[in-house]
Amino acid sequence: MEKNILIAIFILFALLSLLSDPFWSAFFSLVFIYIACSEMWSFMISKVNLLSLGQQAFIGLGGYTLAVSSVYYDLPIPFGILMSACVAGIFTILELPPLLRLRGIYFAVGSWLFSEIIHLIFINWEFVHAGRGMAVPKAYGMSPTITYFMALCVAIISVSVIYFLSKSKTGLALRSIGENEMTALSIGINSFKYRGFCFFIASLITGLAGGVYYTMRPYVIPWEAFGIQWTIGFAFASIIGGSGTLLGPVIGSIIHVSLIHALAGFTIIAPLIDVIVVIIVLFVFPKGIWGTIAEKMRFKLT
Amino acid sequence: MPDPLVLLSSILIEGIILGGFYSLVGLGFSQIFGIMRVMNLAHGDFIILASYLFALFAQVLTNPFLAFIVVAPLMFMIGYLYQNVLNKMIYKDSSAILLITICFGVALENILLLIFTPNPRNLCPSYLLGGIDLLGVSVRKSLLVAFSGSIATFVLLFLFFKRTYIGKAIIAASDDRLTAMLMGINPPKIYRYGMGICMVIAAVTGLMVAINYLFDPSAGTSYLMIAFGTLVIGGIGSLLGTFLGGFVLGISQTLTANLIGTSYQLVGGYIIILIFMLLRPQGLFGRKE
Repeated sequence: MEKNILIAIFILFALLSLLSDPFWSAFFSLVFIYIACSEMWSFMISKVNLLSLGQQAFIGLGGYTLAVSSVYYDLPIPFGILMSACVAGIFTILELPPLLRLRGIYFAVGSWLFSEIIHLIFINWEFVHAGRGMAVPKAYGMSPTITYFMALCVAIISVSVIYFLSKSKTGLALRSIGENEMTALSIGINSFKYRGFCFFIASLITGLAGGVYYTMRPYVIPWEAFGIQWTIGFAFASIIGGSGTLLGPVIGSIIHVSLIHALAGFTIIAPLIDVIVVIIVLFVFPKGIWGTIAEKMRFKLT
Repeated sequence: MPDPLVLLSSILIEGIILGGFYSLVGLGFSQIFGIMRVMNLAHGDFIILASYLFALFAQVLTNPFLAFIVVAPLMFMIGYLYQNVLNKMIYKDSSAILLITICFGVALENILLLIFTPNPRNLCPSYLLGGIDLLGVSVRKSLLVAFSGSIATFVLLFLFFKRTYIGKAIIAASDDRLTAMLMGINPPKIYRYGMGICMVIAAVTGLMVAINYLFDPSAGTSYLMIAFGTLVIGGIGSLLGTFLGGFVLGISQTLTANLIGTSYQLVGGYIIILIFMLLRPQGLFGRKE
């Protein structure tokens, strides 16, 4: 059921590109970025209990990789976006050994600490123009349709990776870790390896999304790229929609991006309303919109 | 290049003075975690909120230290109400409560931004400007005030936990909630007092931040990271651990500032936190859980 709805939604998204209206294509591209990342965020927390507050590190790394590969190495944009995912992956491999030793809320703040370290390094690093930010010259004047489809691709990759992972043998192992880690360990599941794998996949997709985002908005500034508001946004999207479901983050992302656009003139009030809505949702219906509907209608969730 | 011995002693003295201040930053945070097992990610923003309250009342009362009489009860009330909200969630879901605290932090930051604009401020009174010669090293007067304020707060908190009824009840509720309930203690109520007291500590911290550094609404994150660092280095719920954790952070920061450069000062502290996470995850004085 959920799968069919998702396929219908993505076909609809692909058809929407025929509108070729600049406002709506920018709007939906941002929705796709949020779908890709918040799917990954909710995947990590619902399957293996990894609450990450450091996703913004990968967005920022993705954006900076794109900028550096475009300014210094003259690489074409698609190649730069692939490089974004690689750099995010390499960074994850470096940060995983200390990070995976931490549990629960320690892990959450630990991942935030890593993103703060990388933020401080980028603020001081003259190679990436320190705090002044970098432009992505090649991304200027790119057709909105191309970025639209790139963003759509990232969203589809993200959703389908989660779908097929959940169906596979690895998915079973992940689910057992999420439900009871001690039992999973006792039947020979290497929880260290599987949790690391989840975080790694999430970082790849988030890095990819970061690269695509900065082709749409071709100027990378440290405080914006490495800001905690990214992760808050992903958390917002997955909690409102229903964390742990496939459709939930899609609904949540649409609501979140609509809120951003509706309040575009009020840069300070928008995050305020964001977090107030999250607090209310967490208290009133913690399962989110889709989670609550699916429970009422007895849909089977993946 | 100065004489290495002189350099070393100056790094040590600066680090210890700075470390005392960092212990104070970490104290409120680590006590909240020790008592309620809630990682209050809004703590940095509460510290900055206190700084702004001091800025507000210092205009009326002419002196930031005098304003403490007004700000401390105010922060206690804020903490009491804050814990009222958190209590509804406290035994249910630890990641939901983490998200709620971070949402409160972001909300607070934006409210401050709305009211006080992003211009950085400082409250240092003129008689605290300049430095004092301490064993051949010049130390800022305001930082010395922060150091002594920190030690005073630690001693007072220690006495509070040992001598008063509420202090003992807080310790009991954090050690073993069920037994405490059997002894007639009401943990949610005690938690409200505990959060209020931690917010008074945040008020002291906010005062020290305000007289020592420039602060703006988004400064909370770096203080939160320092607080997290003292918690990781010192171990959960240990006063002595938090105290020493601050010193470790302070010395590692002055070390990086002197050897590499002041712009990498914070990175040095963060890397020490990481090393502790890797080698001694339970902290200096923590129990293994």
